[in-house]
Amino acid sequence: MTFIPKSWFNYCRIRCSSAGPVGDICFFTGAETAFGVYSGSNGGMEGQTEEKHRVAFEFREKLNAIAEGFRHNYCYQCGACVGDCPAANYSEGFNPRLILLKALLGFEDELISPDSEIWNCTNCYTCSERCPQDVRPVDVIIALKNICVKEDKAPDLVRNVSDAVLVSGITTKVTSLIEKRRKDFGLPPITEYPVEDLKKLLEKDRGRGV
Amino acid sequence: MSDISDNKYIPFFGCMLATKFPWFEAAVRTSLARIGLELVDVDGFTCCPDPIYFQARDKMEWYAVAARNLSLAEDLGHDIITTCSGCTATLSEVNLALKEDGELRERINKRLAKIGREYKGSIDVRHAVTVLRDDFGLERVAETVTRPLEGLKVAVHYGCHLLKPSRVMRVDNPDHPTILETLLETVGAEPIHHELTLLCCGRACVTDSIPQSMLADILDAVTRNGADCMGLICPTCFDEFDTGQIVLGRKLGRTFDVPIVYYFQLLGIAQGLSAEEVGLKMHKVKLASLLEYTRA
Repeated sequence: MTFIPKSWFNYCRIRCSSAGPVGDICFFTGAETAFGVYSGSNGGMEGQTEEKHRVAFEFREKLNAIAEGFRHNYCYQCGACVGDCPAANYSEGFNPRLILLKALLGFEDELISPDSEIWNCTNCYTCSERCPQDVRPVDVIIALKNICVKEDKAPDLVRNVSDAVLVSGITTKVTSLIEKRRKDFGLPPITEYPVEDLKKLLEKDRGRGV
Repeated sequence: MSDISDNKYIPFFGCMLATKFPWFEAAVRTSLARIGLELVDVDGFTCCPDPIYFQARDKMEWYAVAARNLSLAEDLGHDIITTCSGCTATLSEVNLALKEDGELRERINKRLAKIGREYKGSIDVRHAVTVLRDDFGLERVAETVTRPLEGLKVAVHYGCHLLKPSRVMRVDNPDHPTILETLLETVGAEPIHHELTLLCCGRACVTDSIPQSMLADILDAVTRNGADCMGLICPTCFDEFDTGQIVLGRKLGRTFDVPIVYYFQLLGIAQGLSAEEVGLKMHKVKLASLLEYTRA
C-alpha cells in the first residue's frame, strides 16, 4: 500500500491493509477519513480496508467546466489551507484539504449534496492567502456549490436568498417601516429596483452556462 | 482610476445599509461630506449581488449582475465607494476578473448587450476606509474631528472582505492590518487589537453552531481585553454580533453586553453628530458611555 503524498499520515489515522487491483483508490474510514492508491504491496499497513473506489475522472471534468473549478487540479494536499480555517477550527467535519481531495478523487455524492460540508465554508478566503499553489479553495468550493444548485442539491436557503434578488432586486425587503426610518434619518427615498432588467439579463441563458 | 481631484465618488450602499441599517447610511453620508467627499447617487443599482448565496447559485450570473452595476457607475466616470464588506467583495472581485480576463469580459458583455449595457473596466471599487486613508489622508480626517473620543476603548473587528483575498482587495496586509487601528486613533479612540481581531463572523455557514461558537469566543475576547465596544465596518458582521449576541445569550443563558459600533458612527460622533443622528439608539446592545458622551 502506497499513500500519496506522505504528508497525509500527519492527518489520518489509518486502519487498513488489504486492497484491490493495482491502481484502485482505497477509501479507509477510521478515526478520520484517509485515502490511498494501491500499488501492489501492502507497505506494512495492518488493519482492514473498508471501502474501495476508482477515481471518478468524469467529476473532475465536470468541475473543470465550472468557473474557477479547474483550480482544484493544482492542489498537492499540503494542508496549508487547514490551519487558520475558522470553519475547520470550530467544527469537527469541515476540512478544506479533504474537500479538495474528494474533488480530485471524484467523491461526488459527498460533495454535491445539500448536506455537504462545503456549505459550512465561511468564505473568509484565509485558505486562499495560505495556499502555495494558488488553488483558491474558496473558489473551488463555490464551483462545487454551483454544481449543487444546477443539480438541485443545494440547501433551500441558497435559492431563497438569490431568488429574492431576482424578484425584488435586493436580498432584503423594502417595507413602510424602512421607508419611514430612512425619512427619519434624512435619507432619500429608495427608488424602484430595475427587476425587469435583471430578468432580461439572466433568464434566457439560465442553466446553459453562457 | 478616475480623476480624484474633483472628490466625486459613487456610493454603493447595498441592501444592508439602505434597508436594514439606514442610520449607518446617514452616518456615512454626513461624515464623508464633512471630510470633503461628494457622493454622486446613481439610480438603478441592484443588490451587488450577494457574494455568498448569489455567487453559490451561479458564478456567471453573479458576474453579470455585478457587471451591470459597475457599468452604471462607469457612465458617470467616478470610482465606486462601498460601505459594506459584502458589496466590496463582489464588486471588487468582479471588476478585477473582468479587467484581467478579456474572454470573460466578452461573455459577460454579450449578456449585458441584451439590456443595452456594456462593461468597460474604466473605474475602481474602493471601500470608504481606503478612500479616507489613501485619497484624503488621516490628517484631513483628523481636521474634521471636533470632539475626539478620548478614553473610548474600541476592540477592532476587521471582517474578512476588506482584506481578503488580498490578490483582489489590495488594501492592507491581510495578516497584520493597521488601517482600522489608525482610523480609530484619528478620531481619538483607543483601538484594541486582540487575539481574535481577524476572526470571521461566520455568517456564511449554513449551520448555526460554527458562527455561534466563534461569536462567543470573539465577544469574550473583547470583554477580556477591557474594550468598551467592538468597532467594525461591515453591516453583516454588525448584524451577526449585535442581534446575534442576544440570540446566543438566550441559548446559553448568559449576557454578553458587548456594544457593537460601525466605524462611521464613531467618526460622525467625533465630528460632533449626536447619538441620535448616527442611530446609536437603534442598536440592540446600547453603548451607554457614548450615549452619555454625546449629551455632554
